[in-house]
Amino acid sequence: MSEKLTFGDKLKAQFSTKSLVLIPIAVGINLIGGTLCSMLKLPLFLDTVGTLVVACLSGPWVAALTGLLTNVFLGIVANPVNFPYAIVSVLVGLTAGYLARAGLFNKLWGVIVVWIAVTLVNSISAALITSFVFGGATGINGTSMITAAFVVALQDVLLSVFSSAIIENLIDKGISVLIAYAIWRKIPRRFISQYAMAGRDDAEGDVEELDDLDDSDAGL
Amino acid sequence: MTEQAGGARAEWLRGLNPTAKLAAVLLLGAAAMAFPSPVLGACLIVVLFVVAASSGMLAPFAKLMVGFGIPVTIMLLFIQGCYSPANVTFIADLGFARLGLEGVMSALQTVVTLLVFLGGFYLMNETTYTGELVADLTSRGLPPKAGYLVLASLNVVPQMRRRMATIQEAQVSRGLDMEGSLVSRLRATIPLLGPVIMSSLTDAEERSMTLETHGFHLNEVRHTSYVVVHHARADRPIVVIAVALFVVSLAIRIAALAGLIAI
Repeated sequence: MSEKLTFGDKLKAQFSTKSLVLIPIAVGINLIGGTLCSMLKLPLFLDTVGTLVVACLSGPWVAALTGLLTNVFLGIVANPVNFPYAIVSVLVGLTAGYLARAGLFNKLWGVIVVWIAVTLVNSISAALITSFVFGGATGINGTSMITAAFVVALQDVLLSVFSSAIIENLIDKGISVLIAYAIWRKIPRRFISQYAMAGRDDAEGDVEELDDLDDSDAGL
Repeated sequence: MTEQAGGARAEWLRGLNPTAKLAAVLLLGAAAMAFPSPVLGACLIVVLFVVAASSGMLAPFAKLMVGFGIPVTIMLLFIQGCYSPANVTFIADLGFARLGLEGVMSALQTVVTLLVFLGGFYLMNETTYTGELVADLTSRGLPPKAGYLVLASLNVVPQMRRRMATIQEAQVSRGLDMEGSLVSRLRATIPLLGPVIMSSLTDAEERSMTLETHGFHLNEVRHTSYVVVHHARADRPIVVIAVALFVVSLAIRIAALAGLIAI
C-alpha cells in the first residue's frame, strides 16, 4: 500500500468482506477467553486476544470495531456495566493495530512494547471510566475489592482505581499479548496474505521461534 | 390477574416491535441517568419488576437484579459514601471514615441507572429474537453489514463454545493437564485456545467466500430477509412515553444545573 492513499481509502481497504467476517469471529475469541479462564479457574479475563489477533491481521480500525462489538455484546447479554468500557476496547484495538502496523509484532522486544502500551492504555482509560462513570467500582469482579483496599490506604478514588487496574492489566494483558503473539506466529502466511496488513510483515521472525514461546509463557 | 391473563401479557411483550423495545430500554435508562435524583430510577425499577411479574419472569428477573444490585450497591456506597471528594454533609460516623450524603446519593444514582439498563436489557433479550431486531433495524436503514456483524457475533459464541468443548476433550485425552498449579493451568491455555482460534480463522475464510458468492458485498441492491417483523399498537405509546420521560428528566437536570429549581 503506498503512502498516497487517503485515510478513507485505507479504512476501506481494512474493511473488506474478509475482514468483516473476521470481526464476529474475533469477538467470539475475545469472549471464549473468559470462558476458558473460568474453565481453568484462572483469575483473569483474557478478553482481548481476538482484538489483538485482528489488529495483526486487518489493522487498527477493524480491531477497534472488534473491541466495540465485544463490549456491546457483553453489555446486552451479560451486564450493561460493560457498555462504557467499549471506549477502552476501542483504544486498545487502535493501539495494538498501529503498533502491529509498525511491525512490533514480529520481534520479541516489540511484543513487550505492545504489552506495556496496551496495559497503560487500558489501565488509564478503564480507571477514568470506573471513576467518573461508576464512581469507583462496578462490583462485577474481584478488582473492586482491591480498589476498596486501596481507597482505605490512599484516600483517593481515582488513584486507587488506577492502581488496581494496572496490577490487573499487567498480568492479564501480558498473557493475552503472549497468546496473540503465539497465534500470530502460527497463522499460515497464505492466510495472512488476504488481509489488509499483508505485506507489512516481513516474515523475519521465522516459525522456529514458536517452540521457545511455549516455554516462555509458562514463566509468567 | 388470572394465569391466562399473565400468559397473554407475556405474549404482548413478545409481540412488540423489537426496535421499539430497544428504544424504550435505552431512553428509560438515559432518563434515569439524567434525572438529578435516584427517585426516578427507583420508580422505573419498580415498573420493570411489574412488567417482569406480568410476563411470568419475576423469579429469574429478581434473581438477576438482586444478584447484581446488592454487591455493587455495597461497593459504591463504601467507596463513594466514605471517600467521594464531593462529600460536604456527613450523615454517619463509621469510626474509620465518615459517610457523606453527596457520595451516597451519587452512588445510589449510579446503581439505579445500572439496574434500569440491566433489567431493561434482560426483559428485551428474553422476549426478542435478535434476528428480528436486526431485520427491523436493517429495514429502517441500518447497513446490512452492520446487521451481519451483530447477528454473526451473537451466533458465533455458542458455536465456539461447542468447538472449545471438543478440543478440550481431545487435548485432555492426549494428556493435557487442566488442573494443578497456576503455572500448569496457564500453560494449558495455548493448546486449548490455539486450535479454537485457528479453526475459527479457517472458518472465516470459507464464510467470506460464501457471503461474496451470495452478493453480500453489493451495496446498491436491497437485501431481502426471511424474518417477519412484529408490530403492535402499543409500540408508539411506549416509545412516546419513554421519549417524554427522557426529555422531562433532561429538562429538570438542566434546570437544576442552571439553579432554576432546587433538588
